[in-house]
Amino acid sequence: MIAIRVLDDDRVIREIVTSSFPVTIGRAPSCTLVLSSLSVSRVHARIDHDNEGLAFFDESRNGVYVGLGRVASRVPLTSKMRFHVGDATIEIEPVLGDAATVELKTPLRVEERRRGALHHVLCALSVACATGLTMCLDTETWSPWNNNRAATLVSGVMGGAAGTVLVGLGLFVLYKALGRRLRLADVFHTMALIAWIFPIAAAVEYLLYYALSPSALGRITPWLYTLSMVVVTVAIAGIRRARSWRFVVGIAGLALAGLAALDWVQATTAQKNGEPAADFTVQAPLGSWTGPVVSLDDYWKRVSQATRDAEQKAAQVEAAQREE
Amino acid sequence: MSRKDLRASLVLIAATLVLSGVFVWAQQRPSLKNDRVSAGRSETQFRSLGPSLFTIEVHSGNDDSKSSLGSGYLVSRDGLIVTNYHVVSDFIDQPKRYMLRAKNGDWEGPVELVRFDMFNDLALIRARDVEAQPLPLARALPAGGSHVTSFGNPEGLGLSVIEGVFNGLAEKGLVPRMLLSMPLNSGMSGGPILGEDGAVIGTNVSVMRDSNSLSFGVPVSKVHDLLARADVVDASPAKLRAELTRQLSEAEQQTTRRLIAALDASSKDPTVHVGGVAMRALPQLFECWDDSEDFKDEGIAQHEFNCNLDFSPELSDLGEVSGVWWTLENFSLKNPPRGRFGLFGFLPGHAKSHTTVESIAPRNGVTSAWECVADRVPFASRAWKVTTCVNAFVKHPGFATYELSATSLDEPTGASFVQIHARGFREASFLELSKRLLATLQ
Repeated sequence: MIAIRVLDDDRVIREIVTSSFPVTIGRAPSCTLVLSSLSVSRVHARIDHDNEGLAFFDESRNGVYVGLGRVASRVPLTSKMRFHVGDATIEIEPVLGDAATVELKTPLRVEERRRGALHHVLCALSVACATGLTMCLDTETWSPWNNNRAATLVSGVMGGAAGTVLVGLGLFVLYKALGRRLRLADVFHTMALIAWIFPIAAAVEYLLYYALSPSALGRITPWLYTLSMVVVTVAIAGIRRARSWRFVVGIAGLALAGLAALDWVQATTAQKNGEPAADFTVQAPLGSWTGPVVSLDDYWKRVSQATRDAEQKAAQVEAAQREE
Repeated sequence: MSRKDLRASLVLIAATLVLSGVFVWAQQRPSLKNDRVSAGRSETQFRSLGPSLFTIEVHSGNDDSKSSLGSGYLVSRDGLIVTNYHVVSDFIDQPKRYMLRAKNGDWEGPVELVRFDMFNDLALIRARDVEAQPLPLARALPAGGSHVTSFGNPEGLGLSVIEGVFNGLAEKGLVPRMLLSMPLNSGMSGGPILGEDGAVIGTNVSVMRDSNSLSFGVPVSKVHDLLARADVVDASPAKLRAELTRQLSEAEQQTTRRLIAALDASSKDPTVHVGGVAMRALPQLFECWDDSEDFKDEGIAQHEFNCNLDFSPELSDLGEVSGVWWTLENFSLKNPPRGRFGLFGFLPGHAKSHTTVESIAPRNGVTSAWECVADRVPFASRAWKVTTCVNAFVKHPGFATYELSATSLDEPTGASFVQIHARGFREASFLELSKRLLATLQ
């Protein structure tokens, strides 16, 4: 006999106890356990006895995952195990004897709502703290011309929290519309975590400013933010979903492609408009350390190189005019 | 800040009122009642000089329309007319697109460009078959304080005369300019300035921006120089451009040579204190302005020291060339080290607000896009973040506009900002000038 449970956030929401094999799991109505989600194959998996005993067989194209790893096509079932089938999580437990069904005692929705309310508050607090820290790490917040620093901070923090709620609601509605099974708490939970990526990125950038030359910094900083955005995208896309390697790499790839496209559009527009890439960044010194310097003579050499580059561009403009 | 703006607008409004008032007055009454001797002479001159004074127009070929307009005066029996370079510069830039015309009550027709002097802002053109008396040229400038009369055609409305006083040569800048107390108007550029004996002592050239009656003229010696030169320009586009490049090069060399000599000689000049930073005063060629403001609530004091060469030659498509602008600013904190972190919160924005790099998009076909290099560089016993941008001239290879901005990084009680803006210089000249200018910081 075997017990198959469908879990939602560690809670059992459905359970089948059966002793007639094979047991099939899939989207098709003929399956023993029907999971009506597009992420599940028509017949996604099968549980049956073979020569070596009771085993779980992956029959799907998209695979079955345990944690982030895809399972082999045959998994021996000796004890309680958890699998991700599409975006559903199931628990399979071989049961000895004629054990009865599991009673779903508590009305789940009430319990969840209660947990959700506190959860939402904690999430909002987390976002507020992260936003506040990001602002504190920004020297502009402390500018002497900023006469209303407290107001700036409070409004920034409140704006961050309110923005998170709005974006969270939007994501929730979007995912619901796309058919993903999730709760608002899942979205807020993820956003409460990813909000901390920004102060971390700001702190790393601040430290990097003193470790690197301006040109190296100019090359690395965009990557720092690209990396942050990729992590954010993967986290948001993976809300309440089995996060396989394939999924992570796929979403990260999509995010990178999107960011690269945006970057290309910006760079092309800037080039077309002739916007200069003039870097005027300065940071408050770290103690007395102002970062690596080059001598004035070496700097003049760089100016000479820039002159040659500008003259080459001018010559190209002239050549283009001649052709016309 | 807003008070400053208000003051500037008030001055501007006052200047406009005075200028338009004088203009209307001059149109209605050609003579000045309180100076009967000079007034009577003006009336005679007004009548007798008419045929020798011209309106110079740059035409795009359409019958009665003009692209730019100025004045000019006959200086020889074979039809040579003196005007300003800036009156005919559109033609010099695009001789295929434009043509030159001159006219007055007696004569009207096309004219040829003979020669020009970009640095002093003069041009010589020739009108064929003009039967008029050339104006006599004085050999030298009169003494300061003498009465002068200026002629021209303001806005193309008709021959006008303005009386004023010649005050001597302006003391600043590399281009010699006559300082005149008279309200010249646009369109009078290129008209003659006559001394008390009726001989030409100069040519109208410009007015002081935001002032109500300060005008400038080109000394007559520059007309003598132009007339003495034997060459005649070939009006083909390539030849005109080559000639302009040659003159730009000459202006640049002369400017660089004089500035370097002056900067090298100024090692004993007094010290200028700009808040928490000090520098050696710049040579007399520069016109400098000093300003400071205390922001008590913000706990910061701002000091600035700006210098420039008051007069620079100007190209029609590139603006001022052979010009150098210097800025030194200092922000001192009232309670260091408190507020030091925040000081860096506005320095990048401050540097950006001072740069012309962000605002000047490369003009179509005139300059290259900006190329910028930024690094941390130690000089004047501080560490600085230095950003230099270059924008090369398309029509004049080897010349460029440079802008160097530097923000100090390690002053314990504040921060300083330095900017050198140099237009129309060769790389070597810019480097030589910048090295010397940065060395004035102490």
